[in-house]
Amino acid sequence: MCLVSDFNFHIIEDYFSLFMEGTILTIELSIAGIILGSLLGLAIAFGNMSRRWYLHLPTQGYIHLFRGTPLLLQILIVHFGLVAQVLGRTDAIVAAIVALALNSAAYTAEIFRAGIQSIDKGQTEAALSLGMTRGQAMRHIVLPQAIKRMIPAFGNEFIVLIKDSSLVAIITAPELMYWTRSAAAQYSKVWEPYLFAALVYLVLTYSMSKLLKFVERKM
Amino acid sequence: MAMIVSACGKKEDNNASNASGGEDKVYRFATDAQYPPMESMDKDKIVGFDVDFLDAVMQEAGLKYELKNVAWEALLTSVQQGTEFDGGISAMSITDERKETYDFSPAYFESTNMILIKEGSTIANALDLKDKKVAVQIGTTADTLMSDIMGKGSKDLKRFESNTLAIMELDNNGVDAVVADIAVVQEYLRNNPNAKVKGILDRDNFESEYYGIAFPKGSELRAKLEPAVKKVLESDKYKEIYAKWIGGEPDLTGVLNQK
Amino acid sequence: MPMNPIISVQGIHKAFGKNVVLQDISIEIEKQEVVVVIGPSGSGKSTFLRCLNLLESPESGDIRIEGQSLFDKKTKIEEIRAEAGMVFQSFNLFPHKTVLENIMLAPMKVRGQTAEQAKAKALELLAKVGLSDKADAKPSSLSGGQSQRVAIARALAMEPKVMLFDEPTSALDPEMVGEVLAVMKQLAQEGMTMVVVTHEMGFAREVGDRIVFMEQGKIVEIGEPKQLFEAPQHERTKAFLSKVL
Repeated sequence: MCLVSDFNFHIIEDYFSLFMEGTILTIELSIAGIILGSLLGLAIAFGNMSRRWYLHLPTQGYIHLFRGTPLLLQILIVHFGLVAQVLGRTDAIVAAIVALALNSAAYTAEIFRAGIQSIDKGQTEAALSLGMTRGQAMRHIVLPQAIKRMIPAFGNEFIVLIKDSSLVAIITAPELMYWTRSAAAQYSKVWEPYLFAALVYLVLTYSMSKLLKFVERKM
Repeated sequence: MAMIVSACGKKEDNNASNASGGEDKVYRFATDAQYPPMESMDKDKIVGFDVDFLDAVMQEAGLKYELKNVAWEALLTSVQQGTEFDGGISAMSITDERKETYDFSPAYFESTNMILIKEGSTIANALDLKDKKVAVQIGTTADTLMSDIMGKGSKDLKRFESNTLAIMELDNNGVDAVVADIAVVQEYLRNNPNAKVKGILDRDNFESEYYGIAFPKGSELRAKLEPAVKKVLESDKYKEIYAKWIGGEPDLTGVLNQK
Repeated sequence: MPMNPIISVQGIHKAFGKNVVLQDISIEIEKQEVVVVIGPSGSGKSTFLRCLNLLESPESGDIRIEGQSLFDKKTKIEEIRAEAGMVFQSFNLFPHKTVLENIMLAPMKVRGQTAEQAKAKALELLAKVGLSDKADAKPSSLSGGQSQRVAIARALAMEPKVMLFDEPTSALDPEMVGEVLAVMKQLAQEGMTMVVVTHEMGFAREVGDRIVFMEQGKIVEIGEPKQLFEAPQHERTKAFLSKVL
């Protein structure tokens, strides 16, 4: 096929070190996003499951907001509207992490809720009947069992984050997608950099799903 | 007689029914309408210098056409392939690199890049930008120029999807300067008299560029439009369009001396 | 008879939405007494039992354990619950912990015992229910009867003043019912105050000090086993017993 014979590998060669730097940032942003997002998501999940309206309503609203609007918009708003206002200047990497974490939190909150609610009520009742507080029951009995069940969903969310992180190229965070676009623009050639980027993302997500299966089996 | 032009990636074959020639054929052009005053969206209409210029050229050539708004990178690919579009007009500078991928009409517009900075900035020319933070629109000649000056892998050179975002970055103190086409900067200054910014020219470091209409390699249409373009350049219509979208009188000496 | 009630229930009323489950339930349970609650499904007996450690909240009425009202604002509900051990129909063992850990957990986390203290007590209790060899097993490897005996040991680890049994053998295969009832009988003989909801009439007769017959959210009749089983006073009691005996 003509595509192969015309493939300009020198573009990849030329940008290779930048692509690799970008890939590392992609991984870092995704990790930061899932960790911060999960911590926030846990808090939001508890607020959402609470019967107290002043905890339940805002957290419900949060989940609707961040799941119901495009991540691209969230990134732009966080970059120009939030981080820039707070710091007095822009910071693409901070904005990227914040936006990815805020977004991820809405999804992980639902993962936590589903996981926690999937644990039989009898477990909590047994813990309470032994004199444990609700907090102790959650910490020692419910969460340990729930987290094991949530691992596939979390792994999946991480994989989604790896792909979603490509959107922060729009605020010029120098991850993989950013350098891919830069290469395409410099050489006015689209296939070479984009296909290469696709390959890298595929390697990342595939490795992640393999790792996930391994962890699931171990647990 | 239909000429079957084969190039890699081109999937459409010209069959006999096109032999009837051009009068009924509607030529399709692409533009990335995020670049005022050359092209931008006014609600759901594409407007700008390029829009009016293309119209004048196609009228002169007596051909029907339609113009579609397409994202920049998609425009680059699809015009190169020539299947979805017959040509692209989008403030595209004619460069040797691009000539490898496209055929161009005669140059129809001269532009140079301008530096947009906040009032009070000490930046005086392009070389001052070397150790500063600069925003550009990706894929523009501003991008190429600054990549040369600052190094293409520089983390201080931020390539945005559009000049709008680049200027927002300047607004929010993310960069010290924006480099963009003179038309874009003038437009911004005109529309934002209260923004504390100014534009400076640097003819020494920013060479003039010339815009052309891009066609897929071996394009028939290009040859068809060449005389039309030349005619429009010399007409009053051109002066009218220029005054409307850029302001002032056009200096066509550079344009007419190209190629 | 010494009036020394350890549990005092007065006028308990509970409804789930429009469904009234407990109507004006009152009873006094003496120390060391074994009270067996019987009745048809839906009679409210489980709900009644679960009110005693506030796993269910009645809308009105009072419950006092050792004189302390469960609804007093100053009462820490966790402390009351620690004094009332509960054994569930579906065991509710913690699957992610070993048998020993199941028993040790609450004494350590709630009473602040050290691991050594908790372990020693746990081994003692496992021996008592006849499962010393299962100390490091996971609950999933146990039979139903074994699981329930572990559950009893777990509840006993908190040294409760009263033990509540919610149909402890209903989910067991028949051949395992005996081993659990044997443990419960031994507990009764040792003087534990017990409230048992069950369908096991043999146990009720043999071990119960008083039988409570409930139907449709009300206590219909209370009596000593001999009297209630042989000469029930109410028609409804008669009708129920004729079906189950």
